[in-house]
Amino acid sequence: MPGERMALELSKVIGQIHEMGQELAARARQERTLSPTARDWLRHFAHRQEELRQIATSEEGRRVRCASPGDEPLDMARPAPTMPERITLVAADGSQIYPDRHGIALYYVINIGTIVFRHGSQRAPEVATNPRLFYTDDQVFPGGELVSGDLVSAERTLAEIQVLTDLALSVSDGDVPCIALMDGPLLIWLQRTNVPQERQARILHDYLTCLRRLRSGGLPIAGFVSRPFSAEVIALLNVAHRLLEAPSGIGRPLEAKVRNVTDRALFRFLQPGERSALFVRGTAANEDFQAHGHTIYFFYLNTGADLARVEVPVWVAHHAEWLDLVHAAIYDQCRINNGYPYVLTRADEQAVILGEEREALEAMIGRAMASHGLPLPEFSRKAQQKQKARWRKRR
Amino acid sequence: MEIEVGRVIRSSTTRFTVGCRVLQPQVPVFGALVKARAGVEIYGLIYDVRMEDDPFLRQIATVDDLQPEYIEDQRHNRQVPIEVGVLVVGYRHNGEIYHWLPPQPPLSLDVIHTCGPEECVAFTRQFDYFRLVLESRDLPADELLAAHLRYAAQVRGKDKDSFLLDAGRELARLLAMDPIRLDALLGRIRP
Repeated sequence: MPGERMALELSKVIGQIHEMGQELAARARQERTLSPTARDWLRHFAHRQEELRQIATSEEGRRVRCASPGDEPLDMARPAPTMPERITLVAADGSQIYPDRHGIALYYVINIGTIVFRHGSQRAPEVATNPRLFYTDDQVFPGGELVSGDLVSAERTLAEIQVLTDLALSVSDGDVPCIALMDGPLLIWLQRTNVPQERQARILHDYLTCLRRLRSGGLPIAGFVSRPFSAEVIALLNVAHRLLEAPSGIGRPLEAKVRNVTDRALFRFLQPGERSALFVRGTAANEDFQAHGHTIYFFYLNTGADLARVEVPVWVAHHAEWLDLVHAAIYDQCRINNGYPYVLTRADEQAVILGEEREALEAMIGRAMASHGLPLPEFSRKAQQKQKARWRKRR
Repeated sequence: MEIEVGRVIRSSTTRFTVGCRVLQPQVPVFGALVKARAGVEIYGLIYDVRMEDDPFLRQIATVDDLQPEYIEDQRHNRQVPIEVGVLVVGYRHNGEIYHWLPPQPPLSLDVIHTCGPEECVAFTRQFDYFRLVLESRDLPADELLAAHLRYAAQVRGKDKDSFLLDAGRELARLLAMDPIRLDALLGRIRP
């Protein structure tokens, strides 16, 4: 229609969408064909943990960053332990407003939502938010450069675990078991991010300090990864297959096509509530964690609706009672919440910063600037022109 | 005894909405007489108590053997505020009660209280406010008035019946042209 502007001309992507559908279907077919083979390997190597550990730490194993097995049989499926009558779950999740150099001022916000859920208490959980505004020179121009999205994300993850640690330690009374839960991997990975070196070191140090405090306080922590795409166990099986003798009667290695099978497909044999064996994360970042006694382990869990990865530090992985608590509590929470822990949904709900809240915040910042004699703040010319041009589309 | 219902979150001259945290056994109750202090005391009848749903709540509602903590969380932390609709029926200024609309609505965040028995008796001594209720045809106006009158009769103790008879006479006058409606309404307040 003349005068109508349409940025995404759907008619021009129809062909690509069609091809995408074909590609995805082919990938799914491949996954279906390859995962039984991968499962055969898992069974074949199930009790050869020591050999696989050596492989995982070999040069080749380190190159592909594969997982390393714990002591349990690799093909194990452990049902969810009984949920204790009383247990306290403390969860935190964060959200942020990224810095916008076209906005009225340079700042960013990190908001951490928390919940203390006392299972078996018959009481309403306690929810709270913990917002922080970052605006000083050092915060928005670390090392003289404009703060990156990666740094904000890393600071948010750090804030999540700091708030979680403080809260969990403060509510844990020793009578009722307590666990701390985070959304996403427990293993943070800063090396390849756009975060200045000294900041990386400081963030890692503070993060590990939280893990140390939790360990000292006897408080297990876990990270919950919904729909994981990792294939560290698959990678382990591949290297093992290559370096150890080829099992007879089992299909050829997947090698080139390996990315088409994820660990999630491999562990699809788990029934609702069951967890897999424990493995050690193969990512390089785990070396820093290991050096401080917090090697990150993981297991896969059938949440009843999906397969998730749960990460725990070694001192939880090796503590049977805590591990059972984490397993039972996460599954119990997922059971009623469509395969995702209820407390994490609620922590996210607290944390999320909606568009109108951001606008209200900006208006307040604008007034604060004006009240200190600054010229009335405005958006950059680019942002102003974008807003004008997009007005018609928003109607 | 006056009980706090909540605070005004929306208001107009004829109606206002109060936000409150949880339902208590005594408040808010359909038909209860409440008041807001906003320079003048504005009186109203609770005509609606509303709890909104959302996809999260709907999903939780379908879960079997739901633990009480989830229910408490949804009720106390998420279902906030519960919205209470109030129909304005009059006001008091310098000690005088008027059964027509106040010059100004209550302001947002004004606290709303229930009216104690004495105040309820004082407000219902005259029936001029009936018209404000009966004309609110988008509300369950007759149910509202009947519930309110039953409550106002209750607080009068032994004068209960004579109060209801007087109220019934006034309704008969106002609804003389609509005998079916009148009959249904009288049936609801018959002593």
